[in-house]
Amino acid sequence: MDIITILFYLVTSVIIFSSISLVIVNNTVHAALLLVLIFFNSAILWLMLKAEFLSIVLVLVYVGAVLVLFLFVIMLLDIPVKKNSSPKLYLLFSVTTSLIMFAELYMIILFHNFSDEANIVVSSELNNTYEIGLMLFTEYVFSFEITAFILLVAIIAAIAINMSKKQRSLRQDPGKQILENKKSRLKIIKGDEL
Amino acid sequence: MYDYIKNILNTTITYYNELSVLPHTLILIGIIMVPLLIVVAYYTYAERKIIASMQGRLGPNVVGPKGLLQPFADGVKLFFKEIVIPTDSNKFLFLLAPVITFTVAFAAWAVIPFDSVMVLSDINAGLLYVLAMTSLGIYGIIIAGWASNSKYALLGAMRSASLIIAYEIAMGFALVGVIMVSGSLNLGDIIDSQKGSVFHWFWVPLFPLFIIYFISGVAETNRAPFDVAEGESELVAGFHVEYSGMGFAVFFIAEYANMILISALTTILFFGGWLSPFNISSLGNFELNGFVNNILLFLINDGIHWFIIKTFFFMFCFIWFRATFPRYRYDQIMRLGWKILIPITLVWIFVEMIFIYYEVEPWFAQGVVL
Repeated sequence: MDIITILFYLVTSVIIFSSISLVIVNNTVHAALLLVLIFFNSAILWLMLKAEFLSIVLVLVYVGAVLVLFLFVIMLLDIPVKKNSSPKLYLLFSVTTSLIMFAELYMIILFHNFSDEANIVVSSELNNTYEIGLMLFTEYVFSFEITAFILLVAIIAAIAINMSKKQRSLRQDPGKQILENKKSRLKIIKGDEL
Repeated sequence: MYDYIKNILNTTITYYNELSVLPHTLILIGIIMVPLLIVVAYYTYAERKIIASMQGRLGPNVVGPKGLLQPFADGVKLFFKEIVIPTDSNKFLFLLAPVITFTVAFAAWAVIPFDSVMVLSDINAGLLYVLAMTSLGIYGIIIAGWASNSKYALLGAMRSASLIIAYEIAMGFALVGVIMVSGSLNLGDIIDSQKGSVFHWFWVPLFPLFIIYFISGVAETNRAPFDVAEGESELVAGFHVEYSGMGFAVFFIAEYANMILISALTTILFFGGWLSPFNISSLGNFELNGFVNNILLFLINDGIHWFIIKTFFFMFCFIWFRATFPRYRYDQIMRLGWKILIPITLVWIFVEMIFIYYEVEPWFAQGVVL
C-alpha cells in the first residue's frame, strides 16, 4: 500500500459515509453541505485518475455554482426540520431502488471489460485539458453545440417566465433614473415670483 | 520470517521516501504563508494610514513608532477576546465557517508563480484551479451567515453570495480572453507569453478585459464600492456580525488575503508578473563601475521585485477605491454585473476571435498551437 492507495481509501470512505448521512440527516442545509463534501471528494478521486480538467471543473461548476444555488434556495425557504411521517414506506422504496442500482452496476462491472479503457487513461502523457478541448471542438462539436443551444434556450425560458409586464413591486428603473436631469427634478422659484 | 521482516523494512523505506516530500512541501508552504500573513497584517495598517491621509487625519500613531506595531496590538487584542456563540446557532458550522474561508483564501496561492522558478506547484490547469478555489470562498460566507442564526448575518450572506455569483461570470469571461491570447492555462506560461516590454503585456490587447477583471475582483472580495454585503449603515457588518475574537480575525485575514490574491492575479494575467517593464536588449550596456552596474542590472532585469511592486500597486488601488467611491446601491451592482460587464466581455472575446483568426499581431501570438 502506497500513499495514493491510503488516500484513495480515505477519500472513498468519506464519500460513502457522507452519502449515507446525506440520506439520513433531517436538516436540509446539512444535507446540502454533505453533498458539497461528496462532490469535493469525488473531484479528488478524479484528480487521482489524472483527470485534472474534469476534477477542477467539477469543483468549479458543481461545488462553486450549482450547490451554492441549492443552498440559497434551501436557506431562503427556511424548511422546518421534521421527522419522516412513514419511515417504513421510505425504507422499502429506498432499499428496493438501491438494490436495483447495485445489481445494475455489478452486472456492468462483471460483464464489461474495463481493462482496455483504464490503460488509455493512465498512459495518456498529453495535457489533459488541451486534449479535452481538442476533442470537444473537433470530434464532438455538434453535440457540444447542441448542448450549448439547449442551455441557452433554458436560460431564455427562465428569464421569459420571470419577465411579466405587470408591475409587482416598487422597483427602481435605472434607465429612467439615468435619463433624469436637474431640470426635470428641481424647479427654482425666485422670491418675487411668489 | 526473514522475508517478512525484509518486506516490512522495504515498505517502511518506501513510506519514508514518499513521506519525505511532505516536510519539504510544508516548509515551502510556510515560506509562502508567513510573508503573506505579515503583508496582510501591514495591509490593514497601510489601509488605515492611507485612508487617514486621504481624509486629512493622522491614523494609528500610538502603538510603536508611527503606530507601526498597531497590527500586532490588534491581533493580540482579538486573540484574547472571548468567542461568543449565539444562542440557537449551529455550533459546528459556526466554528467551521472561518476555517473554510481561511483555507480557501490561502489554497489558491499554491499555483501563484512569484518568479520563473519560485512556484509551489506548477500545474497545467493553474488558472482553472485558481478560479475553482476562489469560487469556493463563498461557502465560508454562506455557512457563517446561516449558522449564526441572525437575520443581519443571513441577509449579508445572501447579498454576498449573489454578488459573487454575478461577478464570477464576468471574471471567468475576462480570463477566457487571457487564455485565448496566451494559449495556455498555466500561469507561468501566461507570463512567458507576455515577454518583451510594457507594451507586450496583456493590458494593451486586452484593455477592456483588464478593467472588467479588476472591477470583478473588487466586487468578489466584497470591498468598497461593492461592500453591500457588510454595509455598515444597513446590516451592521454583514455575514460576520455574530463573530467575535479569533473568528472575526480569521475572516478579516481571509478578506485581506483575497485582496492580495486578486492583485497578484491581475499582475500575472495582465501586467506580466515578474517580467521587467524594460526591454533589456534594447537598453545597451551600462558603462558604470562593477558594483553599481550589477545592482542596476539586477533591478532592471526580471525578478520577484517587479512582481511585488506591481502587486503592491493594485493593493493600493483597492484602498484608493475605498476612500474615493461611495457605496453602490444593491440593484445597481446587479445591473452593472449582468447587463454591462458580461456583454462587454462577450463582445471583446468575439473581437479577439476575429483578430486571432486573421492573425493580427498583438492578439495572435506565434507560439500558440491552434
